[in-house]
Amino acid sequence: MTIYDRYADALFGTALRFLRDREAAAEVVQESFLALWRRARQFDAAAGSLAGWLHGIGRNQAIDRLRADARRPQPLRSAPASQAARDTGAADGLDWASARLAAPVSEEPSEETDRRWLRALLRTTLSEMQPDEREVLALAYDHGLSQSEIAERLGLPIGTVKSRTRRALLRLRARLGDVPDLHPATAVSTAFGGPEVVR
Amino acid sequence: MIQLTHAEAQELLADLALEAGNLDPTALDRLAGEPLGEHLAACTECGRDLAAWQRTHAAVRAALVDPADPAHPLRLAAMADDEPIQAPDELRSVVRNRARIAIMQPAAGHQPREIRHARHLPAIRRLLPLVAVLAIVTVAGGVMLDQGTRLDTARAEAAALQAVTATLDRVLADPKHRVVELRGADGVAAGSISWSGRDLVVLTTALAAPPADREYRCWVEENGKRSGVGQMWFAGKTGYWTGTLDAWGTTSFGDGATFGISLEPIAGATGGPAILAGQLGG
Repeated sequence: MTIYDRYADALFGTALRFLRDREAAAEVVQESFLALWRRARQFDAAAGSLAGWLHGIGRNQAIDRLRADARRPQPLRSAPASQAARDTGAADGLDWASARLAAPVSEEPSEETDRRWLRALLRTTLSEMQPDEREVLALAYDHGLSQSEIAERLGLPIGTVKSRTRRALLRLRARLGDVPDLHPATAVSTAFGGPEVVR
Repeated sequence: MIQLTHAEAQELLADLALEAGNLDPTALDRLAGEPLGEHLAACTECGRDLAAWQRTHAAVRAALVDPADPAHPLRLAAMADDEPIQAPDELRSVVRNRARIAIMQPAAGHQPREIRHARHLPAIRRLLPLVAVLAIVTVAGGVMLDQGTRLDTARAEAAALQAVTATLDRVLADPKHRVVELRGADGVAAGSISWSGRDLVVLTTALAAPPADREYRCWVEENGKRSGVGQMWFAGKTGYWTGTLDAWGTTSFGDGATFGISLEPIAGATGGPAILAGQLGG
C-alpha cells in the first residue's frame, strides 16, 4: 500500500468537510502530497507521524484555499453543492460554521478557522472508527465518565473498555496529536516541559 | 525509588492518557516524586509522548467548543455518525503524475512565459516528435554554453523533456491516438494535445512568464464542470503537461469536453478564463 493509498481518503474527507467543495478538496490533496514529496527530507519521525505531518500540510493548504476563496464573490457558498452536502453532513445543523460560509473567512479569527479544520479532522477520524470505539469516546467526552464508570454503564469488563478507548485514542493521536507544532506561538510548557498546544 | 524502563513508562503513560484529566498540568504535578514522574522529567522521548497525548485531548476538546455557546460544548456522539468519504478514483493518477513531474522539475527561478504569439502548427502530427527532440537538443546545447550554475537546471529540463517525449512516443504508437490543436482565445493554433488510451500530452511554445503570484493551471471541462488536473511546467521555451488517463475513459471524451489552461493565483481558487484550450470530444 502506498502513502497515497493509506492517507488520501482521510485527507480528502477532511478537506471536503472543511471546504464543502469536491474540486477544491481534490486540489488540497494534490498540493499536500506534492508538498509532502518535495519536503520529504524535512520529515522528522521523532517530531510526529507521517499522517500528522500530512494533515498539517493539508490544514495549511485548505485554510489558504478557504481564505483565497473568500476574497472572491462566492454566491454558491451559502448553499453547498448537493453532493458535498451529502458527503459532509452539512444539513445536520451541527457544524455551526456551515452557517457562516457566506462570510469572508479572512474576517474570522484564525482560532475559529483552526477549530473548523479540527472538527473536520475529528469527524473524519470518527467515521473510520468501529462503533464500539466511538461509543466509549462519546461517554468519556460527552458525559465525562471515567473508564470504570463507562465499564459499569456498558456492563463490560474494565479491560475491554480500556482496550477500546486506547484503540480509539491511538487513531485520534495519529491525526491530532502526532503533528509537528505548526504554531510555535501557541505552545506553552507543561509541568514536564513538553509543549501543549493551546487553541 | 523504582526505576522504570522506557517501555514501562510508555505503557503507564498510555494508560494515564485514557482519561484526559490525568494529563492536565495539575494532575501531572501529583506525579512528581513518583517513578513515572521522574522518568518523564528525564526522558525526552517520553516527554514528546506526553505532549502528543496532551495535544490529542486538547484538539478534541477544542473541536467540541461551540463559540456561540462556550458553556455547552458540542457532543462528540453527534459528530460520530458521518460516513467515511473516499477520494475520487481519478485523483490517484493525477497525484501520481504531478509527483512524477515535480520530481523532474527545473530549479526554482526558471520562469515560464506568457503568450507571445499564437502560431499555426501545420502537419502537427508529423512534427510533434521533432519539436520535442529539438527542444531536448536546444536544452542540451544550452548546457555547453552556460556556466555550471545552470547545469542542474538544464539537466532537469532535459530529463523532463525526455520523459515527455517518451510519453508522446507511447501516445503516437497507439493506433487509436488522437491529436488536436491547442488554440488561443483568438482561435489561432498555439500547440497540441495528443492522447491515447492511456496518456495525454500537451505541448506549447506560446506561453510567457506569468506574474510572480500566478501560474498556469490545467483543467478538463465536461458538461460545464471544470476539473483541475495540474499546472503547466516548462523546459526551455516548451510548456508541457502530461497525464495518465486510466480513470477518465480515455479516448472517448464526451462531446464538448475541453482541455484548457488558465492563468490563476498560486494560492487561490481556479476558474479564470481559458488562455489556451483544445477540444477533446466531439
